[in-house]
Amino acid sequence: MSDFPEFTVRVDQNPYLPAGGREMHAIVSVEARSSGGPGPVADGGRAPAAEIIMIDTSGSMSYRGKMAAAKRAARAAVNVLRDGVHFAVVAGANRPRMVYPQGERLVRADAASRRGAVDAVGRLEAAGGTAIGSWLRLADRLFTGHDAVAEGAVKHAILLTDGKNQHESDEELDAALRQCTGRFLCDARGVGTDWNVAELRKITSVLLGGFLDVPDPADLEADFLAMTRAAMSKQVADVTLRVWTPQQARLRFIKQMVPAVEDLTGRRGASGAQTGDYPLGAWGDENREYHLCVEVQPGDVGRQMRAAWVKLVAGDQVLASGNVIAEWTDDEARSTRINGRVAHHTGQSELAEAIQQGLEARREGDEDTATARLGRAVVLAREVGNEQISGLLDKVVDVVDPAHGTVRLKRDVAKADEMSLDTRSVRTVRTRHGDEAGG
Amino acid sequence: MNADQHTPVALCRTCGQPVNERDRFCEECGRPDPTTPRTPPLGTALPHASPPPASRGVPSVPVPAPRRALPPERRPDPRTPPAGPGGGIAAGSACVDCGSGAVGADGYCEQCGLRQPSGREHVEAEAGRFGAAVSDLGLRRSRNEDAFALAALPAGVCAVVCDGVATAPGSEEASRLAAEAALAVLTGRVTAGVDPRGAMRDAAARAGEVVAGMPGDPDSSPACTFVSAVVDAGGITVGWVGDSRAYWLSAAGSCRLTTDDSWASSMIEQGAMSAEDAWADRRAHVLTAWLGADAGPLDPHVAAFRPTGPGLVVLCSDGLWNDLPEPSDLAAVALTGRDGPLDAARRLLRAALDAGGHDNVTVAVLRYPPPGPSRERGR
Repeated sequence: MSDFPEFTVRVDQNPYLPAGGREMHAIVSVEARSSGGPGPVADGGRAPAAEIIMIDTSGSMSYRGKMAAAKRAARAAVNVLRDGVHFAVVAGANRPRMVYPQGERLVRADAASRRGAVDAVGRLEAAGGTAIGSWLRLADRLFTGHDAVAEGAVKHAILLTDGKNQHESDEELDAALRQCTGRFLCDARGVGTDWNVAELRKITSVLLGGFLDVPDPADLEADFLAMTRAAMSKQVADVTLRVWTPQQARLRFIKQMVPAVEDLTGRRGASGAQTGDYPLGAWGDENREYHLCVEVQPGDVGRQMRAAWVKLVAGDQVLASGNVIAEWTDDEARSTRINGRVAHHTGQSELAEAIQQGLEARREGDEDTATARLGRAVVLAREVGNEQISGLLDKVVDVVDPAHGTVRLKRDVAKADEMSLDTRSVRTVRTRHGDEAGG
Repeated sequence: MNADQHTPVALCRTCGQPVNERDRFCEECGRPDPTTPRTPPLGTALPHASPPPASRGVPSVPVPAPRRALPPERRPDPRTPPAGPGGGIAAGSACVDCGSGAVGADGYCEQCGLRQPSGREHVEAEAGRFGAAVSDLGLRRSRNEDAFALAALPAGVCAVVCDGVATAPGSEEASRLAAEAALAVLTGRVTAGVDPRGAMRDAAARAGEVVAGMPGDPDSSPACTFVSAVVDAGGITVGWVGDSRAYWLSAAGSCRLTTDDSWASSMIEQGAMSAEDAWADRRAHVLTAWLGADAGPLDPHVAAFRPTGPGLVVLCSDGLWNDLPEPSDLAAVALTGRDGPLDAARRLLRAALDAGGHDNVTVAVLRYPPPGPSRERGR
């Protein structure tokens, strides 16, 4: 087992509730830092890893230089796999096919196997359809075969597609996702404009990964490099957020907010009478932030309660913990104060929702709703200082009054711009720790 | 309200001895120009000439566990609390709220989550007829981070008041440990005949060590302020770090015995701001010295006085002096009755609560001269 990074938990909240108050919000920031400090980590400090690169080779990949870009990207990813990592390259179409190695197994990365994989990738040709569920099932089989080799390995897959999952049913994909849940992590990239944002969102959400659009195939290589390097830098495979709540309390929601909005509420696995476990996947040197909201039984003014107790757990080891406190007061100045970071993340959550609802309404031809929701998004993006989203919104709507969210839907919107806005709606911006100006 | 301009005793900036404002040299240590401009001292406070002879006949009476106003079953023994910041009910005992949960080491019920009363919501103690102390949560705070310790001496009494720095986790424990450690040093040294001023420095140093040695996170170590007094027939010795204060209250005149280690005080002392502006600034109460790992080298102030007539020494946290900064205000409350120090301490607490009780309030009241069979001066 590798050395775990050092985890720290920080809780930001206004702990004061008015008399009778029940709803407590808090932002839980988790930071993992390898003991050697920032910077490259020695190989010895990393967890064993397994990596599967899945390249869509459906017929549509032959257009616009996508196949050539995908090959370059896959080769680049293979070349940054560190020695000793077990890997495979899979080609996806109606059915998945092993590209490297031959036969359903992973192979240990070294100079020879990387060269072999690069050569094999070079021979890929585009033909056939898209059945992503079957690709994921193959990845699962490969990782399963690998489990005996390295216990506690970071199991990571990269999925590249350019199209919708047309050659299997939604039910087949859902069944494959159920099977793969908790088995490995998957980051995805959509290239071109024919893939389905909601589909990739669902896949990566279940498999605890991220997804992005890559409108220009030329950008794929850099993107694959970054993803693979990030996967290679993970130091602990399976981290769990364990949340204790008081008896008769209810965890209303828990959402990851940084780096992207992801509602974890439904992922709860019971781990004790008053605790729930939320899988967080693999961690290297990184920061993530979570917004939790718990509903408690009100206490008397002056009383204090532990409204939630969060712990980062790996195996049976508690890596860090933090308390969410509730304290009832009759001092209105205190109970009405809004924690700056809670407000910020509430705004980011609402922003993602407004964009997704606005785009959905626009696709359905409900222009009033689309205008209202996207207008709201313009206001929120400004409020939370998310300039990237503001820029993307500008490509979809004409902003008449940014302060009030008065907008007009643009008539001609590039498909790539709309997909980019949809994809990136969940990407949040961080607030500095000092930014806690309460109201 | 302007508290600082009512500091009537000028203290030598080197040795802390009271000096006349116009003195060109400190009579104690010889420092030239020993004072900063202050209001002239009152005639009631005179330099402490020499350590008092240890008087026989008054036994050392260590104060038992403080008496509490809360139901005793809530806190069986406040002197042996768990290590957690909750400090209250021993870990593992049953929750006083839901009855079924066990209380965790940090004072929260493992089932209903409610924080258990710490036993420090209201604490009182007496050291015979020599002195008494009261500490109270106040009306706005959820925990009492003040602490005191009090003990009778062979010929008098000593007391320590510490105020935990609310922004630093663990300060509730810091104030308690500091007060207890300092008291142990004071009683030991003074009983053995050590000069109270030396004992005071040792006591502050020990308290500082104890707090600095507490585990804490690097950004906010547990911290507290410190004020202590030894009162015996020979006079009054006070020592302090931070902004907890000592006052001398008597019918003949009252004064503050300490100067705050605080932003406002330092601004006023440097002449950078008027007292009014300094106290109105939101940084006014920022400490410039405290006990804690992040406090730097500890340099406690020590001063000694020999009043010419009877009166009371009051040690207090800012929860009292914020609302009643003027010595005359405190005297008006404390000196009204012919009752004992405990009643005076309770009246002072009441006054602070009546004024809003915004913070924890701790007040120790010590009689001078200490009553006893062998005292040299009566009242």
